[in-house]
Amino acid sequence: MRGERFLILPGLLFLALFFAYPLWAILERSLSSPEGLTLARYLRALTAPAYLEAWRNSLLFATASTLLAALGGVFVAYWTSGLPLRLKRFLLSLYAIPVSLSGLVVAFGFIVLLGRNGTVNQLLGALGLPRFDLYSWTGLLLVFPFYNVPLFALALMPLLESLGRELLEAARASGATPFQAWVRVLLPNLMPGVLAGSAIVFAGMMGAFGTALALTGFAKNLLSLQIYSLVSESAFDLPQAAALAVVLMATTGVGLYLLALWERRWRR
Amino acid sequence: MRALGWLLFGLFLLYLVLPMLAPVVYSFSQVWLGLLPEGLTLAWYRKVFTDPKYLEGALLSLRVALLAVALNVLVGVPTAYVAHTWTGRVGEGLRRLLQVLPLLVPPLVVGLGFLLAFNRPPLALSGTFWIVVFGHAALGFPFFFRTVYAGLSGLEVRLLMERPRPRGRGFGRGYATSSCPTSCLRSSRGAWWPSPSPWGSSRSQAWWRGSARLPSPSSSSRALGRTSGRRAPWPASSSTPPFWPSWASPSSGGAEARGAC
Repeated sequence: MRGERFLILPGLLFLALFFAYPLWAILERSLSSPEGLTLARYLRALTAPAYLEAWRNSLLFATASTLLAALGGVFVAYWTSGLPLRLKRFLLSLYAIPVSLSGLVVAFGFIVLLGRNGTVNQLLGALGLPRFDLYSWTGLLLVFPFYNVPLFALALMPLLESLGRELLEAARASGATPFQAWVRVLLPNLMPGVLAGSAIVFAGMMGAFGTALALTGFAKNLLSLQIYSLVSESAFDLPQAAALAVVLMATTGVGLYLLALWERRWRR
Repeated sequence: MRALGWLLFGLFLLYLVLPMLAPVVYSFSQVWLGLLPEGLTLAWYRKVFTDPKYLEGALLSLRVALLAVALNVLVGVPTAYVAHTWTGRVGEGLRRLLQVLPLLVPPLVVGLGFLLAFNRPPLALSGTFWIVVFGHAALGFPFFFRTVYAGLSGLEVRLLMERPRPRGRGFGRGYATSSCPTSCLRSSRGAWWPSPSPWGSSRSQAWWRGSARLPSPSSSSRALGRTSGRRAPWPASSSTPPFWPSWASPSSGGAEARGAC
């Protein structure tokens, strides 16, 4: 059916126009200057303390969020896979909701519950316990698993179901302790799925900024927030934003590449 | 051990459900200053449905969402179809590219790219309605493609396409009567994913349009801030935060889309 192949042209045009061309525009703008080409913005992106700190924070934040998501995701996927079929189906639909929710609504929900005068903090206050600060790094690390744990669990479920919990039971029957069965039998087999899920979460967290902006404004120095502030705030500097965007993509790319390498090693 | 597992799982479910329920409960209550909300009311809804500003914003969101979906169906279904039937490297290459693309290029960067690419000739679209549609269509495209592609993998596409031919139908008829309806059915699952984004995003639209003259979802979200009593949902300095969707999903193309966070 050779004749049909022309049907791919609109798709290619779409990708060229809405992905390749904007990415080219970013690269071009980050390098161009009245005198020709310049690397000054990249130099600034890699040396200015504020940008370096943003880069480090983003990397740490994405890594920590990924670890939390992996921990929660493995547990939730495992626990869900052991439930009766109808309940499991219901829960899987439930897990699909956060990823399609607007971050605005989610941030609002968390503020109502965990904000300064939120229900949880009023409870803690009444009990004489220290209050929880939602607008901090801890707060951000607590909010983002709302998206990441269900996402991770959904990504892991097919593999977990195909391996079957029988694997664990077989290990137990062969005399392994629960801990040994988990660490030496189930986890090594789950590792490719865990790494694939980690890649999704890591990439998402490197670029995430909506909920972070809603909760902390520009108080927390993340690379994505720096880019956003260079585009929208008084520090308007599009070429610098473009250079930071390239740095962000490069960092994400290296992270994804390392995860892919690791995954390949596990599959072997 | 098992009890501890149930306890943790129960806590997780609370953590998952309460933030989704809280805005719903809040929307029906007069105030929420104490431990629990007080006073059942529909006043906020009356406000939303009578204030033209909010209605206009909602309609604009709906228009953007529907057009972005339409564009995805128009472009994405044929692309996934060819990628599927064109055995060899092209289809697989395209699938891989569209798998990595949304991971590597976060929505924030897509927005910046649009801002830089379309604010000058030959394609000076900044400030128009269409750039908002195109932006959302672009963000949804990789995910839409993968969902349809995965759906096609479960079909005997070649058989479906061959069947009408002996009866003298050309490719166009075959595509329109056999393959397209089936793949469109599959694609409907992908189609509703791009739609949440225009509902949630706000500042992004202002970027693309250059100025936010038309009412956008941001006006309704600001209203949330206004009605929330002494609990301001976000710092006053940053009026309304933007929420971009970013999709990422494993090769299955299943429900694992990356949400708007």
